Amino acid sequence: MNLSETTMQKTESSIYLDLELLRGLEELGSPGADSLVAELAHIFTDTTPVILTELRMAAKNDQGTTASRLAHRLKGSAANIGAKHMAALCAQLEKSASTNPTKINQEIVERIIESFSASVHDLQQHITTARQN
Amino acid sequence: MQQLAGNQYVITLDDDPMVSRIIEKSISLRSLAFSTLTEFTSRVPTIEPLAVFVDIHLANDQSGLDIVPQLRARWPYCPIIVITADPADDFLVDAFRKGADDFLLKPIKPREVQARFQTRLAHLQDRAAKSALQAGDVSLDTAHRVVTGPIGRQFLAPVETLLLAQLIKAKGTVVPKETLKREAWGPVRVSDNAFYRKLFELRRALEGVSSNVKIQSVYGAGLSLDVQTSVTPMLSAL
Repeated sequence: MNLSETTMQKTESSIYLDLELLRGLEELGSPGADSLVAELAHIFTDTTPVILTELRMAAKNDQGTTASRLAHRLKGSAANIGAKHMAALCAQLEKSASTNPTKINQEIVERIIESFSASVHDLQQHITTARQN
Repeated sequence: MQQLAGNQYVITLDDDPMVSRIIEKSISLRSLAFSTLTEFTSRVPTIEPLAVFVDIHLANDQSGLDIVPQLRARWPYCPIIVITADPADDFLVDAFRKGADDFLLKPIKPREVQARFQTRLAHLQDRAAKSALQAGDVSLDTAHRVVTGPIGRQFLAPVETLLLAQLIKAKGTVVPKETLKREAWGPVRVSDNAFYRKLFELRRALEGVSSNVKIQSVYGAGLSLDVQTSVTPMLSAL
């Protein structure tokens, strides 16, 4: 098994990404670095950290309404790029923050941040593999 | 999918910039992206999109639904497709009440975007075609309440639109006054005075768009639309 196949197998088994959704997006253009997935991944990587910082701040100050709103926003963008694990965590936080707005679950916030990093990592691998193929 | 001219575009109102790009790629049409209501609202008077995609939940607690009634009134035949991340969203019911035609769920799937866009566009274009009535060189757009002819374009009141539509559909035959009243005002009792006042306004509007189409009163019978066909130069020379 060569390196490319190993990478492909790892990406294909990613718990962070919805590979079927990514394949649907890849149908719309050329694969690899210039693909729509690469462009969307770039937007996702660029715009998400600012929102995560705001979310962490809102959670720290137990601002439930703000945290719920930010989690909702992140849920949508994570879902659109196929970051299903992160989207699920955001949905969980959105619900808990609106149910109990004065006590935010800090642990979920940290897990969302970790999931974002892992998703970006797997997205980059997926794009590299697609380009090699 | 029907052939679309190169200068046509859709609008995407969403605080997530990815959405506009996915839509643009999915339907192979340019998408003008707006992220806030304020930004979009200020541009509405100057644009004529082929379809509008509106996110229900925008940043800073804004709702995309707030602009839907305004868009529906301005563009009666433009598909309005709302976007939400929550399949059980109560706001969807509100969206349809306010004039939305369809919805998309996040994650946005290209094939779903294509299918919903094409279906809604075809449906609304069919309705637009049915709302256009023609009598000689005058055309009536019942949805926008606009009558157009060779010398101008006039906006009509709702009752005037209904009156003219009935007369056009009658194709030159006489329509009884009471029938016109019923078609235009429904079950409401209307005095002859009010009826003739509206008729006067309608005649004046017609004069502003064409000299070939006139409303004729047939004493004791009702009204009809008299459509003069244009005389060809050869005949006028005789």
